[in-house]
Amino acid sequence: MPAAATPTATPAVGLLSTCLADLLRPEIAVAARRLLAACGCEPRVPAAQTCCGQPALNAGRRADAKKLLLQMAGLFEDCDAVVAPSGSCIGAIKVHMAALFEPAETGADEAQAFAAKCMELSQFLATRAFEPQPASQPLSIAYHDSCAGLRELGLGAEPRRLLERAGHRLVPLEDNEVCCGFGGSFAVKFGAVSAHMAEDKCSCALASGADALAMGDLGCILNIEGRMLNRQDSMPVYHYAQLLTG
Amino acid sequence: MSTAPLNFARRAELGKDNPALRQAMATAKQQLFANADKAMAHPDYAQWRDEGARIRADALARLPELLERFEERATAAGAVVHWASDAAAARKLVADIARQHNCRSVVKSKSMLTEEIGLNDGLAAAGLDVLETDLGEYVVQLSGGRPSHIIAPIIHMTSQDVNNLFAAKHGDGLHDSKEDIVAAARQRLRPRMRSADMGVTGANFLVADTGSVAIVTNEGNGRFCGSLPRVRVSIAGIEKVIPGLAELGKMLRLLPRAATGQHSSAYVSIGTGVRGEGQPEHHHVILVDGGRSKLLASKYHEMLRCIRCGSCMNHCPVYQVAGGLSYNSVYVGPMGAVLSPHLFGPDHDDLPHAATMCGACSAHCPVKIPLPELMRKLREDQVDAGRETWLQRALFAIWMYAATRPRLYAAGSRLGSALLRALAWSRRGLPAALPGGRWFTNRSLRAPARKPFRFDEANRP
Repeated sequence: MPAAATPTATPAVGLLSTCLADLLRPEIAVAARRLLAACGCEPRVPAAQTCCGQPALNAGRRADAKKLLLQMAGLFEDCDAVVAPSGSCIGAIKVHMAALFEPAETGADEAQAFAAKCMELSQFLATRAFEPQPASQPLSIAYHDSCAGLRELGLGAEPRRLLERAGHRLVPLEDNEVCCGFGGSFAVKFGAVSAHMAEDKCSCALASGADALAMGDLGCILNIEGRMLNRQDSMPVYHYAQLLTG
Repeated sequence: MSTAPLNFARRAELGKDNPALRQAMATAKQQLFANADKAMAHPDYAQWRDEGARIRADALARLPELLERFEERATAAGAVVHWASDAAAARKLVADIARQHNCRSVVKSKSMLTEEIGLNDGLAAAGLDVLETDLGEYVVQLSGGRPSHIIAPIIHMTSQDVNNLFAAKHGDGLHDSKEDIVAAARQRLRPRMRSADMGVTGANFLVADTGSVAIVTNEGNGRFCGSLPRVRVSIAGIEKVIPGLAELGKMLRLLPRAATGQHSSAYVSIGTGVRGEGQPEHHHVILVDGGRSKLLASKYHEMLRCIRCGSCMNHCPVYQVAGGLSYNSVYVGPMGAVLSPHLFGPDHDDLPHAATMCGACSAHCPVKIPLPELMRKLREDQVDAGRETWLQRALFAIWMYAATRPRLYAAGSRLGSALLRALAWSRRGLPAALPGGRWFTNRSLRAPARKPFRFDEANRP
C-alpha cells in the first residue's frame, strides 16, 4: 500500500463509484466518499468514469472489457489507491480483467498497475485501521456475503467488524453464502429464476428477525430490495457503508 | 448470426414451480446436500482435495502412457480392450460384442457415459433387451425421461411420483411405504440380474497399474451386473484412468464425501479382467474418446479432471431452482454447462450463460475445476465465433459507444435516471419482451435518487 509507505501523508484515493451506484444508489457512493475522507484520505472522484468493464467480461467480450479497463485506469493514474464499494467490480478487475492482457501486450502494464492498487472499500478501511463513528441508530443486522467479494477477495470479516464497531448487532442469516440470483445480465436473461433466488434470500433475511439486511455489492442490493418491494415487505436493504456514517 | 433461443430460461420458467420439484429440492437440500457439506468439513478435507486435484491433473498430463499401460495390464488379466472414437462406434462395439457372445438380455449399472452415448437406444435397435438396475435409473427408464442429476437421477421426483409411476407400469397398485416401493423394484430387478447374458457397467476409475475397473455404488447392483452375467462390458471415457491403487484409495476418499457425504460408498468393486472368483467368463473394456482428446488439447482441459460427484450441482443455486431437466442435457448443473457444448455442440450454447458466476461450484469441486472460468471462456468463444445473440451484440454496441464517451455517458445517465424514476412512480415494470423487461418478473426497482452521484453538486466534498 502506498498509504503505508508514507504514513504521514494524506493519500489520494480514487473512488470508483461503480456504474450501478452512480446511477441507481448515489447515496452509497456518498457514504463511501465520506468514509474515505474519515479515514484520513483525500477522496478523488473522476467525473469521466463510466464502467469498469465487468459486464463485457462476463458477456465474453474481452476486447470491450480491456478497453474499458484501460479507460478507467487512465482516469485514476494520479491516485495512490482506488477504492470501490463493490466486491464484484474489484474482484473482476483484480482477478480477471488484468489477466486478459498477454504479458507483452499494449496496456498490460497499465492494467496490472491499476489492478494492484484497486481495493474493496472495507478491506481498504482495514488497512487504515479505521474506526467508524458510533451509529445514531444501532440496528440488528443480517449480513449477506455477496459472491464475488466472498470468493474472489475473501471478503467477510472486514464489513462485519466495521458494523459491530459502529454499534450494530449481527444476527445469523441462513444461507448467507448462497447467491441472491443477481449475476449481472443473468437477472434479465433468466428473470424468473433470478427472482426465485432473490425470493429465497428474502425468506432467509426475514426469518433472521433482523432490523435490516446488509451486504457489499450493488447488484445484490437492487435484486434483493427489488424482490422485497415486490412482495411488499419493508425490511430495508443496505450497503454496509451506509450504516457506518453515523 | 445466431438466434440461440434462451432454451434454459424457458424450460426453467415452465418447470421451476412444479410442486414435486420444489419439495424434492427442499428434501435434497436438508439431506443429501447437508450431509455432503458435513463430510467436506473434515479437517483434512482441504489436503485430500489438493491431492485429488493433483492426481487427476497429473494423470491427464500423461494420459496416453497411462491408457497404454491400462490396456496392457487389463489384457494380461484376460480382458479385451476396445477403443471407440465416438458414440456411434461405442454403441456398435457393444452390439457386436453381444452378437459375438450370443447375448439377448442386458442388465446395466448406473453409467453417465452410457447416457452420453445413448447406449440403451442403440442396444434396443440391435434387438437387445436392456434393463437399468440402479433404482433411480430404472425409474428414469420406466418413465421414458432422462436423469436430472448425475448421481441422483430422479432427484426431481418425490416418492409419491415414483409410487404412481410403478402403479401405472407394474400394474400392482400403489404401495404403502417407501420400503415397499423399493421392494417392488428389487423383486423385478434381482431375477433379471441373475438371468441376464450381459452386464454393462461404467467406471468411476480405471487403474493403469492393475488394469482394473473400479466402480462405486450404494445398491450393490454394480457388483451384480459386473459378476453374475457371463459377459461383462465395462465402458468408460478415456479420461478416467489413474496410475495405481494408491491413487485410487485417495480418490475414493474424496468421491463419496463430495457426492453424498458418505465416508465410503456401500460398495466399491474392483474388477480386473476375468481373474478371481465371481468374475465373468468374458470381460470387454471399451474406452471412449467422444471428443475428450479434443478437450484435452484445448484451454478447457481442466474439465476432464471431473470425477462425476455432482457436488457442483448440489451447490449451484441456479440448478436448485431450475432443476436438472432445464439443462436439456445428459450433463447438468455447472459441469454440464461446460461439458454439454463441447460434447453435444452449439445447441447447448445457452448453458454457459445459465449461471450467476457465484463460484459456489468451483469452491466445492473436489478436484478444483475452475467451472465459472470455463463458462466464461465458452462465452468468449461464442463471441469470437459469431454465435452471440443479436440482442447482446446490439446492446453492447450501443453501450460501448456511450461508455467510451464520458460526456455522452453522462447525458445518458441523467436521462436513464429520470426514466427509471418515472418507471418506479408508474408502479409498472417494463414488458418482458423489452430488453431488461425480465427484471420485472416478480421484482421491482426502487426509484433512484434525483441525480447520478457524479453530477449532483450536493455530493461534492
